[in-house]
Amino acid sequence: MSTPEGAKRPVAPRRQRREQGQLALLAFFAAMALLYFIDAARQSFRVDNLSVIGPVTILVLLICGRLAWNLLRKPREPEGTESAEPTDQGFMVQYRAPLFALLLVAYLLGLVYWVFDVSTFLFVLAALWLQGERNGVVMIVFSALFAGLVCWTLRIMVSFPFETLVIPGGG
Amino acid sequence: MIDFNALSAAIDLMLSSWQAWLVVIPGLLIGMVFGAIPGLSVPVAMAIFLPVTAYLDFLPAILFLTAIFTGGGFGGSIPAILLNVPGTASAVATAFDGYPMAQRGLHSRALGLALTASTFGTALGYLLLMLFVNSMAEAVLTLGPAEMFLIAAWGLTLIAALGGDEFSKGLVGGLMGVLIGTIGMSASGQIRGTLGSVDLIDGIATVPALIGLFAASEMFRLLGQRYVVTDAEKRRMSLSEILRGARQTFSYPYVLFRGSFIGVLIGTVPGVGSAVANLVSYSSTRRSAKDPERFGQGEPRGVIAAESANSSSEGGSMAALLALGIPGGAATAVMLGAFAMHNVTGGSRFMSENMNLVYGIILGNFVQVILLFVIGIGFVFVASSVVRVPLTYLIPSVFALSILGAFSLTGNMVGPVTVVVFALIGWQMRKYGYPVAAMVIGLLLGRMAEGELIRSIQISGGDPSYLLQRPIALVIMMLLLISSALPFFKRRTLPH
Repeated sequence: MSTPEGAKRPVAPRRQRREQGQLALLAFFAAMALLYFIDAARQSFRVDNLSVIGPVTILVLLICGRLAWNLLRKPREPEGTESAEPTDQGFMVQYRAPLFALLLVAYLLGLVYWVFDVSTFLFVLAALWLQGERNGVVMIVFSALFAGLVCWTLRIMVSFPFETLVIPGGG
Repeated sequence: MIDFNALSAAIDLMLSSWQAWLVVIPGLLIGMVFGAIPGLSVPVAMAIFLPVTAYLDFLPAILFLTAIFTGGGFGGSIPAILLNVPGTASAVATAFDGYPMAQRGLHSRALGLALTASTFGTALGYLLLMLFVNSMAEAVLTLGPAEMFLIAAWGLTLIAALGGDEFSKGLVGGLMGVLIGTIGMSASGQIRGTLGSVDLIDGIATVPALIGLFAASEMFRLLGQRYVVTDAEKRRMSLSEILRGARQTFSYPYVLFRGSFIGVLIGTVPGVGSAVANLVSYSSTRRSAKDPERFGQGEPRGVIAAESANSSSEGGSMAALLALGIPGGAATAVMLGAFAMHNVTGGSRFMSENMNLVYGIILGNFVQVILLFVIGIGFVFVASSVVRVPLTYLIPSVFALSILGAFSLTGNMVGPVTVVVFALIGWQMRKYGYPVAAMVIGLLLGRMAEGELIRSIQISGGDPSYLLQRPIALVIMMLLLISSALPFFKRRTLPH
């Protein structure tokens, strides 16, 4: 059965999702600080090793705890009074940022396992499409020119291996 | 103070050598381009063009490299203002107020302010170098780790101001930056937080990290928008606005002079450099202002303070290079390479025997400063057209340039991986209102602060009375305490 109005679907209120996201970020900070402190303390418990890391970790944990506590204690408005996520937006518009983040990771993997010129061309091409460009000729010409020019310049400049497939002289 | 015979010989030398003038303009342009492209850096430019200097005489060779240095010092401010992406670490604080100005359509004026403050800062730096080169070098030798730690601590106090209404968010971002900055081998030889990776022993690659934090958070925010400046009318380039910015710089002489002096002093200290000068100057200007709440919203004084300091630090760093033969940073280290290529060793003997060459370098830089202003206006006029490029094309280009530029900096995949990891952290921080600038400051200064603190503890044996034997440290500490306490007193005494 289809739902004619997006509002009828159980949509997590935007604020609640923001709070969850922020709590996840704080948990990430706290976990990172704690794990780093444990690793540093395992190396040496001497004052000179922990003179900065120790106090800073304690401060990070305290502040993260306080911020998280404030978020959890914040009175929640009754359901229906908060604006729900806009549902009239397309998938691409709504998830553009996470998709872009995935694209960046894919680009990185392309550079690691593939070659610079082709990876850059494909990254720019996909990023243009994500940004809403639909003119195929413009997309291909811009991506090819950009990737070609930048990779060619870097190949000339850098003194270490810069693997290219199409740019002349590539490995 | 000034050896007039040597000065006169330097003028003769400059007028007789056409080569010295021929290399300045290309050097400035190379520096501006490399400074303006995120990921490429001034030391990289200097290293690439170092072999060219083998075919030049000593004076033109050094002038060519200082021209790249000067041009790059200003070039880094261009993407910082137009895109919130500092081209170099020394333009971080420039973005704090430069970018908000650009978003309001005042990009041409902000660039005019930055160019003029840079020009003035560089000129004052070299003037002080000419007058006090020997005294500056002697002062450097009296500075120890305690003083350096206090300088880093001064810069770190800026974190407190960046959280805005939510102080805790700024603080947690800054403290995380400090922790990340200490990853790798410490000054006492312990290896922490590297996850067993050899690539992290030297620590997190700072420039790729700050590019990721700044560039990504801003590019992610701009996704879906059409232009950086939304108002079409305000997107146009304006020479009159650039010149208006240039004039406006001199409306704040105190900010200009203070920034320049801070830059020279900090630039003189080896290993500290223009990035710290940029932050300390911005921090001290903001803290002493009657209206600190205007900073971060597009305040011209913020741009002037940041740019005058990072440019004047060049003169300071040249003092240590010429008088002691010690490079203050990567750029002066490349210059030391050029010295070696010409069989010249910096230091007191070089100074006493070749004072005419020292004055020649300084005089050449005065001419460079004038050329920087003239060429800079043209460069800025062209560069500011970036706000007219649709974001559909700009965002992928900035990301790809940042990642490939980071590769050219580190020479391996550590640079690109660092950019992407910090891009994702920056995106999430920005999304939930945590200032990425605070993390960048912690990252830039955390390692230095820890290293100098460890060395201070090792020298003093952990005895705090050691500080009482260090008059300069006491003065810096007093200034730090006064400048930190000043805003609280002002808040209490000024009528609301």
